[in-house]
Amino acid sequence: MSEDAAAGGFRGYIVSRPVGGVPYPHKIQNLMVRDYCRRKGLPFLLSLTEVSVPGSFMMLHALLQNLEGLRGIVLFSQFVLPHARAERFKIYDRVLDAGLQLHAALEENVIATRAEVAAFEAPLAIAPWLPATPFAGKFPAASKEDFGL
Amino acid sequence: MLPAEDRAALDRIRLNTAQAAAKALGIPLPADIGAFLDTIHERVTPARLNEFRLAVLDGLLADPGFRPSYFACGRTLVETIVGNELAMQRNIGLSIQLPQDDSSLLPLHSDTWGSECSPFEVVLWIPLVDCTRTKSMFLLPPENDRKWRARVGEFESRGIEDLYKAVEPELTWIDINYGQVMLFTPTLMHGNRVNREPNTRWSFNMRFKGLFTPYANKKLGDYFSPVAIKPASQIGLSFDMPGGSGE
Repeated sequence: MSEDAAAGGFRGYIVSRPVGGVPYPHKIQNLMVRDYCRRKGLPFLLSLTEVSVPGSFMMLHALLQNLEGLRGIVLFSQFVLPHARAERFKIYDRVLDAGLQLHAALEENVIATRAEVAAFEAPLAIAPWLPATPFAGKFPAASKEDFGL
Repeated sequence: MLPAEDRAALDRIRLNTAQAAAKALGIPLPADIGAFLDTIHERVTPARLNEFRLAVLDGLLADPGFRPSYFACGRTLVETIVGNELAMQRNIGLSIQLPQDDSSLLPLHSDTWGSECSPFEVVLWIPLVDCTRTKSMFLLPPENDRKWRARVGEFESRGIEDLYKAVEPELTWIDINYGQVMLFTPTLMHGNRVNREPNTRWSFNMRFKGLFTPYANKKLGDYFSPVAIKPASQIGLSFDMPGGSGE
């Protein structure tokens, strides 16, 4: 066990699927997570990589079942979390009940207390509705390709 | 351009900025904050400017009250022009322009066709010192911008400086004093030139947009965060359909 792990570190979590429509390479995600940890003074522990199967959170669930020795989790982005709001709240509860923190490196958002859940959650709650707003919420306006047409 | 809606909030921002600047320089905060900021070029060289600017920003970013104070300086103005459900830029845009310094210029550009911004964004621009002529920024007025935007392609091989020279006679230089705020659409061509005035410019720029309007690459989450959501939207966003039937 490394010194960081012994002291309680922050486990990175990166994904193998597009985030917000952008296919960030693992290398870029890892750079972002490591840099975030360095700037915030968080002892970084090697990232877990989620499987590429659409909708699968196999690695995240495994991580949440074994939080011992951790001080928190650093997601590459808060948008790597499940789309279903109820599933996200289960994750917040699991992390907070264990006395840990949940960070999102790209957005520099953090949940360290229950009071911070609402602000963390707001962009995740709004984003799914943007396709139903004018121009499908995108500029330049969404094209047929964006809908797979 | 209007007087700051919450002058106390603006004064707080200026005090915090000056304190962060004094800390970065390792000196006690001078009594006359305005003069201190205006003459910062006597203490900071162009070579050290960006390092200094980032140190000031670190100090400001550590203050959770910065964004609410900034919003308070122009809230009604933003709500009138944009709407009352708003997203606000997360990071802080800070310009420090030393006299005669050509190392940190922002050439003529439009944020929409020259960057990655949505045309639904506006900029709330707030100076910490009086700004006039080249110590300030320039804007191309809307009717002129429309005319020249249609001709930007002609300058493809000639470069942006040639475009600047072409539009220069039609530019408006913004004269604005400390205590005032300006809201503008960054779809318009704008920028700055070498500051030929005797003192240093300090100004903030922060973007706002309607929460439910189109985003370009500056996205909700990493670049923007919600700053005003109405109760009906909060109810709608967290509403779950009843379970147990039709499943």
